[in-house]
Amino acid sequence: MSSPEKKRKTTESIPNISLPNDLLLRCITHVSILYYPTLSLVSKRLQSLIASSEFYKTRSLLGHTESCLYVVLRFPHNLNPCWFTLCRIPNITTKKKKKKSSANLLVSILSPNSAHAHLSSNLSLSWIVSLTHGTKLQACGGPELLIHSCHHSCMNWIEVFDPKTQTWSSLQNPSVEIREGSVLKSLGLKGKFYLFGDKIDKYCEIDNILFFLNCVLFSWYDFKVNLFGALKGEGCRMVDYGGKLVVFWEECDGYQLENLIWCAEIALERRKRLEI
Amino acid sequence: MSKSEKKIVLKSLDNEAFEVEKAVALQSQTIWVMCEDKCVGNEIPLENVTGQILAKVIDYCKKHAVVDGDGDESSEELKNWDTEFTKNMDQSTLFNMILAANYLNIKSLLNLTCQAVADKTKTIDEFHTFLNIENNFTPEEEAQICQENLWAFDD
Repeated sequence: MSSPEKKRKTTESIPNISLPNDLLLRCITHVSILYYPTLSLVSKRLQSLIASSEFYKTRSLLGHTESCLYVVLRFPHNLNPCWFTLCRIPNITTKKKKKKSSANLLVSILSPNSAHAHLSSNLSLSWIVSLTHGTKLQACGGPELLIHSCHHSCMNWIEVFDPKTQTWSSLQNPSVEIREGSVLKSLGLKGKFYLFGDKIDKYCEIDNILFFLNCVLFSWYDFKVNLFGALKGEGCRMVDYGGKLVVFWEECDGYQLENLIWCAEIALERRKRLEI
Repeated sequence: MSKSEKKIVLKSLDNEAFEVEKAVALQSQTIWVMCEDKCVGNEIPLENVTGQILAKVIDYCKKHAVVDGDGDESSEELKNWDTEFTKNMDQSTLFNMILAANYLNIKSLLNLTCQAVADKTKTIDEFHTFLNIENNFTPEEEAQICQENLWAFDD
């Protein structure tokens, strides 16, 4: 029942202008980093745009930096840790996949050491040794580094991940003390510094709230309102993610064959559960 | 100061003339430089902007000039106005606004319009249609990127 006038308008609005690269770049700097996998599937031009250092420079200049969440998982039969980052699943309609338009998912980051085939064969995770985070990584130019020290059974090695180029390199003996015996420690060169003690509870402080952790209990204490809270869960890990607390915990079935990793983003009253 | 000194005439590509307060027009760095550099008189030709787009740009500048001037509107209200301003713009208007904001060098307007484009594009299809970008990946290349990012991990 549309009037001819209306019809004409819609045909007129069929896009025939496109933006020059610098302006397209500018638009895309406004897109959340969660959507980057989607962006990289749009076209070659866009893929190379978001891979360019100029892009991160622009983002940084415009102040559109975001915190990214990085997770390291270790799988059995694979000594090398796999790195993941949180992103939004692209809505691929052309593929015969279930459409999931509003799901955030941890996806792996290319790492020279990680065995991707391992994951894509749909193998269930049976044990997770380590889970860590990058502290307040910001997507911007310049080497924003994440140092990650390894499980004590390996040699103490340090690797550096540059989120800008999404590449890895080894770092020789930085001026950081690596204490043997700790399960895993991580630190960010920029942002907050976290140290996970050997046997002592892990802790994390955001906005006057101290979150701490022992073997079986995840608890928190709010200095402002003197509230105490607890969450049952073994092997929790937590991280300050742009002022929000992200907690990871494992859940396993009776046979220990399959583990689920849960990740909750807690922002004040709001909770979001993300399943891997 | 005489009335004519406070006003300025902006002339669009299609020869449409807009008389605006100088304070409104000077939010554009480009116009500001033009006025500073040489006496262009009271009429400034803007060869890259059509009358239709220029009218919208002036609307925006008027709104923001008023607020900056006497502050009788809260930033909250201004934000809402901005949202409404871009909400119903179609793709070509929005793109032309971006081009105009870039040419006229009005940073806040450029940010606003770019943000609007980002807000309107969330899926791959939207990127293709809205940003007018052609998918030039072969199916093999696409599959490889998917593999690299392991979205198959989902099932």
